[in-house]
Amino acid sequence: MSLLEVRGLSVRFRAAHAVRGVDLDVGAGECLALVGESGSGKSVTARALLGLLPPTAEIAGRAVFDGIDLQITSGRRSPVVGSRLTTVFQDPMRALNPVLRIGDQITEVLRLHAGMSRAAARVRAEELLAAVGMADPGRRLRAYPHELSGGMRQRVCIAIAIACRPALVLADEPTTALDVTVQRQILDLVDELRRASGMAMVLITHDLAVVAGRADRVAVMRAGEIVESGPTRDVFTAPRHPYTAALLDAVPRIDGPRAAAVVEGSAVEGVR
Amino acid sequence: MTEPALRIEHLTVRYPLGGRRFAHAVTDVSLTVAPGEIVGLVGESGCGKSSVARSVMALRRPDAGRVLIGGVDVTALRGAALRRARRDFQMVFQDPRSSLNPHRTVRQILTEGLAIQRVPRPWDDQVDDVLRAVGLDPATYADRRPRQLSGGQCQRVAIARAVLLRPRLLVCDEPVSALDTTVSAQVLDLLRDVRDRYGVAILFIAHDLAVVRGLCDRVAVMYLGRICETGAVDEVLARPRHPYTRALLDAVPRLDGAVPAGEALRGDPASNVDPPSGCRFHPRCAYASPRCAAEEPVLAGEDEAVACHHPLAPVKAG
Amino acid sequence: MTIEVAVTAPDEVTPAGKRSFAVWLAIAWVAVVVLAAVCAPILPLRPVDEIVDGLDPRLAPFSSWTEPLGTDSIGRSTLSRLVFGARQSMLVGTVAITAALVCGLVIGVCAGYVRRAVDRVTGVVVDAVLAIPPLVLLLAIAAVGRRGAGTIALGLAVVCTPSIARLARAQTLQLAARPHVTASRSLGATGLRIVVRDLLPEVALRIAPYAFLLMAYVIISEASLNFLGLGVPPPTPSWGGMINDGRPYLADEPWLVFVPSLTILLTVVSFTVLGDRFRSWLDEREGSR
Repeated sequence: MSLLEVRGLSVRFRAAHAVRGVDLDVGAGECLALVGESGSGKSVTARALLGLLPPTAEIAGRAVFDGIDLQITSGRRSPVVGSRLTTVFQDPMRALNPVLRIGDQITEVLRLHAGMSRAAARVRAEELLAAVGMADPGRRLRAYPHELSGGMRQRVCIAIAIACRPALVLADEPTTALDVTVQRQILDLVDELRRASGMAMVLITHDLAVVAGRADRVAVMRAGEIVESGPTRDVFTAPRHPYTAALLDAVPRIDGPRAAAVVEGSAVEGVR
Repeated sequence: MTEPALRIEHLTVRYPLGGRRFAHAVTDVSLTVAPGEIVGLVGESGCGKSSVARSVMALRRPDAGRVLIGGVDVTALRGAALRRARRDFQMVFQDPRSSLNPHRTVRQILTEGLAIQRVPRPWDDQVDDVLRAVGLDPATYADRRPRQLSGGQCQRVAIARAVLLRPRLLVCDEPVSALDTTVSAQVLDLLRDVRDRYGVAILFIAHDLAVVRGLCDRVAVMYLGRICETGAVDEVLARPRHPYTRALLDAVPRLDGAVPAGEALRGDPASNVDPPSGCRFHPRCAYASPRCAAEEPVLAGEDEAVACHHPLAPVKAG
Repeated sequence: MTIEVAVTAPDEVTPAGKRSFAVWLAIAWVAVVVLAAVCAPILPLRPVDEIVDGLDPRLAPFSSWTEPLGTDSIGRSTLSRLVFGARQSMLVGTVAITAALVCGLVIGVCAGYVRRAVDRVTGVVVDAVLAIPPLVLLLAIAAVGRRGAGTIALGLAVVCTPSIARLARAQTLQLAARPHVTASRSLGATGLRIVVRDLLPEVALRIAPYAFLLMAYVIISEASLNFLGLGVPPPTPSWGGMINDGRPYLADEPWLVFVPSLTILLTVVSFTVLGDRFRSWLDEREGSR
């Protein structure tokens, strides 16, 4: 049985049908990548699972996480979210509270979800910062978000996400706002954490190259639907759906042949 | 010998922070773009590439150095002379939508430049021609407003506006960073097409090496306000000479999932308010020696140039 | 088509139907007041300084067919005086606000775009005027100038200009940072062209809702001046003046005060509601872009 099973997820906002009939499966310890361009519905899917959509959203479908029904149709956040099912967002500056110290933001999670005492939480917070590769973690606990670089802030967000030893982490474009060298550091870190703890991941991104090295399976979304899914290697070397093929063709390559085949504007527009 | 489309000579830009502190955004940067050439300027955030762009576009006077476009020193021009000279160099911005006036139609946006530069009428044909050149049918698009266009279409209009005045140089500041992959591929093709059709030189500013590889003839890599390395794109990417270029290359994810040989770059870039002594990259460099902390390396070399005391590969002499 | 998802709480606190009912009422009332003000001379109203014979002074509203709003303290038609007072208020208000908008816009946009010395100098002047409590400034101007509508309008314009200027400057700072303004500059546009074609129209549109809110403020201020006896001299009717006239009779014939007060209240609330709605509409328009 999968760790996370989503069946028939559908989200409507008044006139717009953002997500139509999405099915997902994530096994324990597995990394599933959800890729798509803007407007494909991948972020809305994530937020539906986390219960973070506005009340005007009409949600249909069913999602079961580790045997627990997430009750996504209610639009409310399930109690497992925040402890066993956590998330990392794209912009760490907006995900962190600018007026609280880093240490307080991490201990808040530990005290709320793991019921730790203040002292125990502080110790664990320092351990977490060390685990995410922060130099001088003891001192960093007292820092404010604006005193840290983008990469460091994202490490803090990851620390918060893994604080309660989650079974699944949902990462919504976690490195899009970061420089490419920092992106590599963060992705390496996440891989290492996953190997050590066996946690599963849903990686949402528009960057196919990021997916290639890091995800076990990939699902390609377009206009609210999943057009293709399967093991990453298979999908990337032999895509079955024309949209996947077009997407792969359009990615600028750092290796291999230099100029990609000139893609006729109208052809790709039509596929979209 | 023809005058280069762009020659940047010892450009220095710094922003005062109060007291006697400065943010040294750009320090002693020199770069040349030949007519019709596409040169990429690559670096991560804080490297100063946007400041270079603003100085080249004469939007900000540099603290030292000069910028020559088609042989004309634009940093020395003022007032009406500068405004007239602007016809020779145009810019394409990162966010296509906000670079177009939302209250105007496409035709009005395009004729604005013609009106300002007093290009003789009739204008309609010129506008229609350039719209077709960027892949937009005039009958359909000329009377639309930006909110009725997609991101990619907005960028095409922006490129049309820039190219309409037949500039010598086009400065593109991360023009595809805000666009989807498929759309960005089309826009890059369009830029190449524009260069082929109009012979305009392009200074292409980006953070994505893969994008630069697909479009540019030559590339310059910047770190913390200085140029580390320049050269033909294939050369630099196949045989990077500067350790930072190597790290940048290794960090680019590969579509085949291949893992790069080198270790990931550690730490974060230093602040440009108080840059490290000597070579600015030395605190993060795996090959750093005492000389690197003491002495600033100079950009050396002709077609391929590198600023490093211990380049990863020798620079061809002459 | 890209589906933009704004993942924020809905900003509609009141249900849409209830909200638009208030807006329609506001529009209706303002329309009545403006129409009355404009058409006053041709309406079949008694002259404002004529004492109505056959009717007692201080007659309550709804007690006579010919004078539905009763008579004032010395027997003049309340309805006539109210209508001509509206004319007075609307005229003064419109002139004052137009002047404030024009001056404030020009000052604010120039300061916001040109910056440096222009910004510093205007900033000092604007802040200085803003530092003086508005009513005190109005009283000072009213005391010095010739009593009449012109002085009030001037005083109100002076009081309102700094706020508009600051708003305009703030909007300009934000707009001037946008790439399409930089693009105009790169094309070779002069500062004047950018200010007039790119900045002024957009800033004016964003400031427009505040014109309504300022109108509400201006009506109150003008009424206050007239109430204090520093506004238009009698027998010219004004809402504030009518309240002042009715003050001695407040205990026994309160309608003398209540009728003009209610009129002021309805007018001020209507303008506020309209200004608010305009601002919401502009915000939505901005958000969907």
